[in-house]
Amino acid sequence: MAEKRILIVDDAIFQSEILAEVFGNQFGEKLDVDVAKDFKSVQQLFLNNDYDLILTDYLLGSVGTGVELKEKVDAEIDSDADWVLMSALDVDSLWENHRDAGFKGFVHKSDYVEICQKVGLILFP
Amino acid sequence: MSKNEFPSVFNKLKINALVVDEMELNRDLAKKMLEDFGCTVTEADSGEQAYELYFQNAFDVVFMDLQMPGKTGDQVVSDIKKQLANHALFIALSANLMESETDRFIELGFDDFVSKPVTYDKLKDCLSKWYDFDGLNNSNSDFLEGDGFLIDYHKLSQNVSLMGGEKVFIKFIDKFLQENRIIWELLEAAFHAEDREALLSNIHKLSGISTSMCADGYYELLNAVYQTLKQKGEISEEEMKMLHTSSYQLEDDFEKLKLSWQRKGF
Repeated sequence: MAEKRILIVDDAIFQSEILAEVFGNQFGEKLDVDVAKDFKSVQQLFLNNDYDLILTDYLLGSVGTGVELKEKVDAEIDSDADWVLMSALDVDSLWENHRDAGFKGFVHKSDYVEICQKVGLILFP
Repeated sequence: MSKNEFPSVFNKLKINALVVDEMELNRDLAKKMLEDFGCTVTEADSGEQAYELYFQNAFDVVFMDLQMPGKTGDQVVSDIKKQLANHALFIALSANLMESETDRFIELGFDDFVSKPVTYDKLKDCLSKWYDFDGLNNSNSDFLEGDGFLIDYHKLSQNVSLMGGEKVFIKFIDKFLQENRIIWELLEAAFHAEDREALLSNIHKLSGISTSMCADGYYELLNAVYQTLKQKGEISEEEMKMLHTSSYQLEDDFEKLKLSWQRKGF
């Protein structure tokens, strides 16, 4: 079993697969990675797993936003996981609008350097 | 130290840099970015190792994490300065200092500061203060040869490196090309059916996969069309055509990139 476990939430599985590959290469066996595309699959995964970090996209298509997803998880699932919000949109504006929503970080979703460093700082300080 | 005291040497690829951080990932990332600027990079995983390496090499610049177990970054800088009057440029790396706290890292003996997480732009901004160079133009990266505006080649190069290399990334290029074509078929069908919701949903899907592939120019076009569609409720034939042309161009750019890597034998 790995030291830490991360859950990537994105309605586009393509993005999650790329990130899983990046994390596998950067963190190796220290980090287990799961992916989910909506609240239902998040719920399912929480039945058998506990997460140290949830990395969610902001725009989740028909699911809503990553902020709404966090609110739902906070209300319905018992979890101490940290949260990081990623987006292709202007990350500074996201931070302005959602800085009090309890996220530990706001990252641009195509900047894997920033994402890896943020994940590293939170999970392996 | 002033900017003029440091020579403009990036064209000659002779900047000798030391990166000191206990975390391997942070060192690897900083190394990759600095090498892209033309630096030769040595790594140290502790203050003690950095101190030892410093006296065995002629470093031009030292990027030093402030908080390390054992000898901290500022202790190393202080010890080096006690020994040598002429020393390298010392740049502090820390997650706990803000850009506005410049006085603090100068008090600690550093010449400059880069906040963590370190990014390409932050490094470039910092180095630009001390060296006269145009980082991108002088870069030795193969990725920057691309002439298209649709892909951010620099970001792509970083991501490919993080993923373990070109061979791994080619797998995702193929997948992207396949998905892009499938979504485009759906998008065209939605356009002809004047199905606004399906148009929005498929443009959103295209945006998602393009961001993942650092196709930032393509993403911006998609986003502009998405906003138009949301505001006006429709998009024109011309806008669709423009978007589709960009999609073909992007596919072509990725195919060319693949070919160049394959020719190089990875």
